[in-house]
Amino acid sequence: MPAVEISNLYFKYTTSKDWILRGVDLKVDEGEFVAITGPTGAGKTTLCLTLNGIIPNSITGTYSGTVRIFGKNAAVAGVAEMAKMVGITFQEPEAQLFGLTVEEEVAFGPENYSLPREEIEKRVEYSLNLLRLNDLRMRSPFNLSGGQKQRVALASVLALRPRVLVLDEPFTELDPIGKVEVSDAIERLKQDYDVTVILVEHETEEIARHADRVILFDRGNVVEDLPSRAFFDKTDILHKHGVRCPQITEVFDRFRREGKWSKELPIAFDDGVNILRKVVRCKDEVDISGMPNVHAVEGQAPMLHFEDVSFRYPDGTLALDDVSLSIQKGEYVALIGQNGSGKTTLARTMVGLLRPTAGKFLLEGQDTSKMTVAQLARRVGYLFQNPDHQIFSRTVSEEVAFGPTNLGLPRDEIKARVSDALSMVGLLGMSDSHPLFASRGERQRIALASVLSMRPDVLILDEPTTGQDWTNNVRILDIVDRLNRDGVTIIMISHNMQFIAERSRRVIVMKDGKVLLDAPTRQAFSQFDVLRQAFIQPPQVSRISRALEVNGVRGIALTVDELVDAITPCLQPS
Amino acid sequence: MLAFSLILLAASRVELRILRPFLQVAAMFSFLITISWSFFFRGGQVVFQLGAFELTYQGLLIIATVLVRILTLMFLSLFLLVTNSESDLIQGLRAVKIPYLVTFIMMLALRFFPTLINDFSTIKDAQMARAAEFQKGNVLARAKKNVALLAPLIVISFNRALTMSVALESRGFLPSGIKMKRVNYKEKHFTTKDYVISATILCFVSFVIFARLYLGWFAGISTTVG
Repeated sequence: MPAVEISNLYFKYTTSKDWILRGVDLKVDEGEFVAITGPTGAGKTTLCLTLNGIIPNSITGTYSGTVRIFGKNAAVAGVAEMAKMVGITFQEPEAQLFGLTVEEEVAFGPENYSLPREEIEKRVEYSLNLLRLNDLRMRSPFNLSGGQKQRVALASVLALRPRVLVLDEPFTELDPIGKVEVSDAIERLKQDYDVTVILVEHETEEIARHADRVILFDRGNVVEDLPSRAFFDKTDILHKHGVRCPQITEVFDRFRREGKWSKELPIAFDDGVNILRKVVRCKDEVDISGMPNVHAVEGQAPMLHFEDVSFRYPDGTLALDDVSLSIQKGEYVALIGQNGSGKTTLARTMVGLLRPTAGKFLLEGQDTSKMTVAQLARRVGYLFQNPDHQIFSRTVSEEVAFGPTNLGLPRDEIKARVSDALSMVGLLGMSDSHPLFASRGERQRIALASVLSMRPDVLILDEPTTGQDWTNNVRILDIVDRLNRDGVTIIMISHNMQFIAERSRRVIVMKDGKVLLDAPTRQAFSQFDVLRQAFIQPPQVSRISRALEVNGVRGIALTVDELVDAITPCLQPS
Repeated sequence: MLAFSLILLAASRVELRILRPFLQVAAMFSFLITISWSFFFRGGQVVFQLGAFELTYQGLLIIATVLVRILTLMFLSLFLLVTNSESDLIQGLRAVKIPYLVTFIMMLALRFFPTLINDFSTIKDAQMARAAEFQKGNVLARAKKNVALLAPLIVISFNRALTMSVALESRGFLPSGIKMKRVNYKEKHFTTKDYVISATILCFVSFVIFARLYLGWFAGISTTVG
């Protein structure tokens, strides 16, 4: 009997115009590890919620077709019955934790089913052990790191002993350490706990690591459904649906396009590297030359200048510890590090939302300690991570006009700036619609336009790529590139090393409130040892280049194309 | 009672750093009460005068009585909150058979208050970064600016509440199941100590009520105030 059997499933919410799920047929066998990927808004989360009957029992709408879990009809059996069989964790770690301590959190599910106390204790111990949470059992889940929170969420779902485990984007909100932590936890789970897993994810490297089989889901239906290697072999279809393969796969894909590779594409990092080691033979050393870095115009005052800046929060936490650095006009700087390393504090100091408790912050040579946030905001724009924190107006154009209006500009000028900003993000057609009804990707661009309408010299972007699909991310990053070419100084906070390697010119790594590393991007991503101290792993292409050092490759590639161009002449016919 | 609550607070050995904000609020409260009540009790011997503002001996006496009452309440609740973890408080309430639904809602409130504050300040930061000035303008203009902060707060809280309800149901917590008897993983039970203390407090309170109603004690204070 299959673990999950979905046939001809249609669903639309009471509030939605179109079908969200359009005749889904899907079968998952017991013990399989299946990943579902696809663009944002494809209906993946909706599909997850039909598995335990929340749709259509608690969230109602038009529903037809059947979902069976080990033969039981999920819509008919009801959520109480299904929640025991299907455990779900969600993207946002915060919204799924309710307990006041970790152990109460884990006990919460079994408590709801009134299991005998000895049984609850047994299950709490088992789940805490499986996810290595014993040391944290008395802590408040609220005060844990993102990775720990996601592990607690996993443990608390496992305490119900589900036969099907659904993980809805467990990595999205995490920093690099958190990702490794949760990825390892999932790997252990696969070995120690006999369960069928459905992982919904954008990060294809994680899919390649864990899944036996992958499903491409778009516009409410299954587009491809294949074993992992065969799946990532269909690069054309994947690219068309906005899915990027792991970089190692992309490298071989380019070889194949150039007629230099005919077998199936590797998807695991180690497999790919082992093949490359055999086929790459460089007669002369190949040097991957550097991308030019933007340098300061001599004699000009730096755009942003930190002089021995420290920041201590009222509760005593030292978030910035004696930071000194300068950023020139027109630079494109990536600010990376784990959560809590001080990057957001540093960025907020740049707009005056936080004031250094010691030291000085200068904007184009001017001391900012006497300037108000509103004065700084004329020069420095800040795009917040979640557009919903930013958007409040009834129409898109009103939202974008908010900043210029605060600056007290004349009406004509405001109008011109609003349409400029909206055309820059490609949303001119939406000026009169309500921002609340825009998609997540569009809201992100509305928020960006509302910062751009202030015409800032410096633009700070706080994790603009989190929680979005590849297509949306590329769209935002292309806009940022254009701004940078026009002379806007860019400060990008991000956990996505691949995008940073491809786009930024300089990398600042923060750790414990200090600058651990500050170098042009290529140099920064060459220093594996220093990055390791901050628990940061360079993108796959950089690691591949390093692995090929013995084959005569010098230097670190930052993009797939760079690497492929460099090693193509060295390829030996296999 | 005020002295007793202060002794309790001192005995709890809570760091002054944690208490300070609360004490500041208490001081501000006392000051406001002194000022506002002084307008209602005029006549009698004037102790202090500044323009229309005057403080009389009788007025001071009444204000002092009110302050003692309010501060006692404040300090006692402060003592309760700083000496008990939220988890202990909730479990304590469950031990005295407060319905699960009530304690659960209290727990959620305690748990999500900080998140709400966080969201609020992020929203405010986001608008300040777009040159909104919350200190500028008259009362009406400022009120309007603050309303603009509420719209995103409501949207975000609403979305989070939706996700939370889905997450709750996914772990078997169902609207229909709340009345159902549930087993609690950790349960606090009344110990002898709890019984003795509860009994003492009960005796003390009934004695005060009895003394007030039938013996006419403490009557002076209430009539002047009330």
